[in-house]
Amino acid sequence: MEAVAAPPKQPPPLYFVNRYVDWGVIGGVSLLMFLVLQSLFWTKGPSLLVTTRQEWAWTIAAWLSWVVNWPHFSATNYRLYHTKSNIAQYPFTAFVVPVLLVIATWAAFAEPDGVAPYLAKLFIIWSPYHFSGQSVGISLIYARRAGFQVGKLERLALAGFIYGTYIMSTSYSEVGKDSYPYYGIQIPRLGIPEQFYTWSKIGMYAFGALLLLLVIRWCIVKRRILPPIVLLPAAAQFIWFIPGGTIPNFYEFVPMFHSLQYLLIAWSMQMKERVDESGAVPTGGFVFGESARWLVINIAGGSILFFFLPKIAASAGSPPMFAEGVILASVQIHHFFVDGVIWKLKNPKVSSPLLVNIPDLMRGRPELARAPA
Amino acid sequence: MIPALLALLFAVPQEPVLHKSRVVLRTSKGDLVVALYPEIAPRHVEHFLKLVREEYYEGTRFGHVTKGFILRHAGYVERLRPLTKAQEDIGKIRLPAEFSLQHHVRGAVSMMRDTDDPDSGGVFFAILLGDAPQMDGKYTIFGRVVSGMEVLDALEAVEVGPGFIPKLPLNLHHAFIEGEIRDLPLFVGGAMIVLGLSAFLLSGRVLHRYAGSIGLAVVISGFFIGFVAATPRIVEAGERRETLALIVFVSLLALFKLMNKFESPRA
Repeated sequence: MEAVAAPPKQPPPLYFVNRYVDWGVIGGVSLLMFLVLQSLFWTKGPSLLVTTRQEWAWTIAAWLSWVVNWPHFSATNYRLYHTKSNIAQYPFTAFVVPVLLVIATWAAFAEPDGVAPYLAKLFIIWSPYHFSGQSVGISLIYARRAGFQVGKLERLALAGFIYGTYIMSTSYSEVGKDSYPYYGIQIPRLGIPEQFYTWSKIGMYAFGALLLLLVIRWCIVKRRILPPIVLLPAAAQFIWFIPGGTIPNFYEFVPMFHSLQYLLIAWSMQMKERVDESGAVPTGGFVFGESARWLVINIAGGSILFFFLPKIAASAGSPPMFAEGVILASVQIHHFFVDGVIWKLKNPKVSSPLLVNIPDLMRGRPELARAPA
Repeated sequence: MIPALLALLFAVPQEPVLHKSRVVLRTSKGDLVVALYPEIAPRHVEHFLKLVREEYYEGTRFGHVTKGFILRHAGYVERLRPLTKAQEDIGKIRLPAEFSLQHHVRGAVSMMRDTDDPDSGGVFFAILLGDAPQMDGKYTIFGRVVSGMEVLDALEAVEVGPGFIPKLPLNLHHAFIEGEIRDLPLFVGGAMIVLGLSAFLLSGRVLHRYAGSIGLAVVISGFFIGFVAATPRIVEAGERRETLALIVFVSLLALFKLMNKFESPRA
């Protein structure tokens, strides 16, 4: 590549798109929905805050799965498998993990009472952990964009609070000695001591308080207000898991909120990488065209993983609901694996494109369009 | 001819042939080891072994204790774990009676049945706490306690309320066949975790860096095998359940954290 004069250093843009889109997608929509449900509760009674999810919530969430949740899983696979160089970077994740999961899935179908509940349980406990990892990662991206220095203490407080919401909510659901249904599979609760839940609650609030103190200190030292979007992922996750976790009509949408976050990040990354790979002039038309192509691929991929694959599995003789539950668990565990390795912010090939701003790309800012990743 | 008839006339009842397998009943007071009589009650023995292998008795209770008479297993009280489909199916089987000349004496294991139907035994059994000749020839004896009489004493000594129901639950935590490698998955899983972790920790130094990913693949495989094997036992572990459950829960968190290091990008 021909050497070019270094462009003047500019702070990275705060948003991937703009304040409205970023706020909405990163957590604003979920907070708004939570507030709407709460206000309906106060004004119209508790009909929307019932102890079981209602049909309207289930139906809307199911339809959104086609265009948000499922494509988000597909986007991970697309990112890993769409080029030989990506596969070559992660050969074990690309090939060994699917083999292990195929074996586990086969065992679950072969032993519907002996193995399937534990495959499903692994997924159920891993899923919110995975959400937490994403919330921490997105917070760190926005912190970097905002110029907020994240030292060891800040990172500890942030991760402690976010993972605290996960540990508190998950440990709550593992207290008790009964079982709960998942796609017709009875999942036994572990029966951990209730004190653990109490201590995890205390820990979560302690880390939250520490995080707030560190933010206040930063604001005083820097004489500026920290852009609130840095704390939005943590706040959103708190709402998802703690107060929202007790409202089935809201909790039904939490995977969708998580998927929305993911799609924004993965889409931005995809756009930046495509511009770098193709050397194309990053016009609005290019971004729209590439976005449409990427979305169609991922909607199709998601449909294969979550609609057709369970049907194929069920055609071998298992009850459709059981097959759906097992396949869903396996596909998602694969997703957790892949995401855990391909989104390392310490890797400059990952972190650098994550500072992109889509309108900048569309305006064709050369330092963003052609900067080596 | 005459000596043979005399011998038959004065024959002392022989100990029936014992099945090579012993069933261990792990109760809240300790272990009872039961030997089975395959020659005098072959269908009952075969069925009982099936129930044990299907873990039908896991997390159940003894429902009645009548001192000097009988300790009855009760399946109708709440189980700690719901029945699986396979357990439900096997639990519906009813066996034809296999009455014998064996006596209902302390330690005998006898199959319970409906009062008016001798061929209705299937799941619930009783252990005799004393002699009960009134049951001879009316209930199928299919085994006897060969070890753990002091546990039987302890079970008999519990305080009972109306209807001879123990005031504190008398749990039958596990029933398993002695010598069968029930713990094999746990050992295999544990060994895989240790080996995999070792490979992961040594990768890039002593071992090739690929060993890290291979090691972690072995760790999660071993963990899953152990998880599948251990969780049902934790669920039925009684007083130790909370501690064991907490260990599993924390291990899961550590596993997820570890899996984030599954693979670094190749240069």
